[in-house]
Amino acid sequence: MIKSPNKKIGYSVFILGLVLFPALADPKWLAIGSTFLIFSVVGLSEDIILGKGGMFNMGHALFFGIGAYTAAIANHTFGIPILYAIPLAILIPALCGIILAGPIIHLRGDYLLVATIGFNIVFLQLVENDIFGVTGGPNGIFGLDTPTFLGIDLASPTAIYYLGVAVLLLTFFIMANLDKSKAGRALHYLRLDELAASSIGINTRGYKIFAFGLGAGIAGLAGVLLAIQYSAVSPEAFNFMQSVLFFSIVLVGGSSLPGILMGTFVMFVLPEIFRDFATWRYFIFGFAMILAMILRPEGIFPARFGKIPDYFKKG
Amino acid sequence: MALLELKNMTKRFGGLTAVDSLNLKVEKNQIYGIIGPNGAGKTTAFNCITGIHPPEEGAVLWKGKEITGAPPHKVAAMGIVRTFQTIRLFSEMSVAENVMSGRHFQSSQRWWHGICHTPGSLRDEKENWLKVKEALAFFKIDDLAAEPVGSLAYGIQRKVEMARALVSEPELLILDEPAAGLNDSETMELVETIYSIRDQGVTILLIEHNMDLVMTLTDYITVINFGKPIAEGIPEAMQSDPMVIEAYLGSEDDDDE
Repeated sequence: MIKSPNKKIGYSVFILGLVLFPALADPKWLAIGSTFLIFSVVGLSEDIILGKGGMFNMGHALFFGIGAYTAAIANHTFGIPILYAIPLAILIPALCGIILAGPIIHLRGDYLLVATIGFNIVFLQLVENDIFGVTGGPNGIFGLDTPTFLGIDLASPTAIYYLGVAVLLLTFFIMANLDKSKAGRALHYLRLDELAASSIGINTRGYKIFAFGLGAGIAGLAGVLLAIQYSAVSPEAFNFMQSVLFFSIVLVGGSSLPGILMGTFVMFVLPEIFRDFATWRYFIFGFAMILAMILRPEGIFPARFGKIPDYFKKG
Repeated sequence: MALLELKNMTKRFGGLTAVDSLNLKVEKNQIYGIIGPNGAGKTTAFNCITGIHPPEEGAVLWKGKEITGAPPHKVAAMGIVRTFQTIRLFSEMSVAENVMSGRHFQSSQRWWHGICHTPGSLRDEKENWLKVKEALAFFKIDDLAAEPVGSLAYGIQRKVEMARALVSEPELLILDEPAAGLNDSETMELVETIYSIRDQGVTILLIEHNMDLVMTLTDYITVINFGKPIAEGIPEAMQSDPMVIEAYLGSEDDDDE
């Protein structure tokens, strides 16, 4: 990978900042930091589907929600320690992603968008109406056990924050790996020209479903963190408007790490810092969306190509 | 046994029969030409072979096995790879990344290597990039490896598209008007390239409008008009075939009007 030294320094400083942040922050700021980490992970997982695969998934809060509810139900109804529910909270959303994507994946842009909104709405109706008597209805599920690992209590905001850092770094690792693999390139190819991609031997349908499964699994993992942070889950955290926000983060920020981190910061962190801003955020972000689409239709930090190995250039 | 055989292949769009009972046999290591006036159904025939538009009737046989209606990615994985009349590249990506797409089904990586590489998949990744590098050197575009392909000249884009098809190590390379938009020197270079691709053991099936090019390049030709094959034979015979001349130049009656 060719990486400019500036970029390497930038990422190192960012990660170092994340790791040192708790030393400077009080619990309130730590909670805001955790929110940033969790929503960044969801934004990045949406980027796999929307940014890389080019599929207009307007229901991403669905997978975030399935992950959170899986962990909450596993803990609340079945008494499984919440950390042990993590594999399940990754697998179930991933399977849902694969199964739901199957019948709609051939749809183009706007049709797919409407279908995914539909899934999101159906999910919300199911949890609000207390399906199977385990989702807690409109109030959600609260009073989840605090996570413990090897007998250590991880209930402190600092522990939850570092759990978020670990998950974000894991997501970075997967995204970087994806970019340097056949599967990740296949997503770029099929987004840019599906016919050319299939004519060169790429099973476009298979890779689109792969993107949905992977994106959904990562969003599910983020969902567990949200359930841990609040010791609760409630339906309104996973409604259609949340999906719109994830969608716009990728579109406005651009399909890149800095783009999505910046989008998450503006969309989910600024409203927490400036309470007054919360009422204004849709107003401001709405204008930001309009301006970004006019001035930078590829996003503020668009995806960059030309990532070819170093040995390519020599000789 | 022919490498590729079409048996009465027919494709209709509504009431229009775009390809009408097309029969042809491409033998291994041939350079086979399909010619015909505009709208004769040549590109549609290619689309039928490569699975983009499955034919309504007839059969496509690959090494004697029927592959009619197989989806494009499966056809490609069998070793039938094509280029497009209007170049279709991944325009935002670099030349090397575009050509790398041709290594897709030769690569041994599985989907989970997209999440986490193994030493084996990293080795595979490197091997494939080196193949791309070789191909760029073959087409003399290695100095453009990192350039976004959308910003390059038309002639270069044609080369990138052919390089992409060639790195997939096809047995049959289908070229849809490879000389369209090329100048004379680029066309000369194309002829050399096609010969050297054939010398690597690749069979070539092409559509071309440039008659001089078709006559020098091909071993065997099928002429089609209104979707129907009207003549076939070696290039020399086609040049003097009255049916072919009529299809291209119009009959003498037309001239009188």
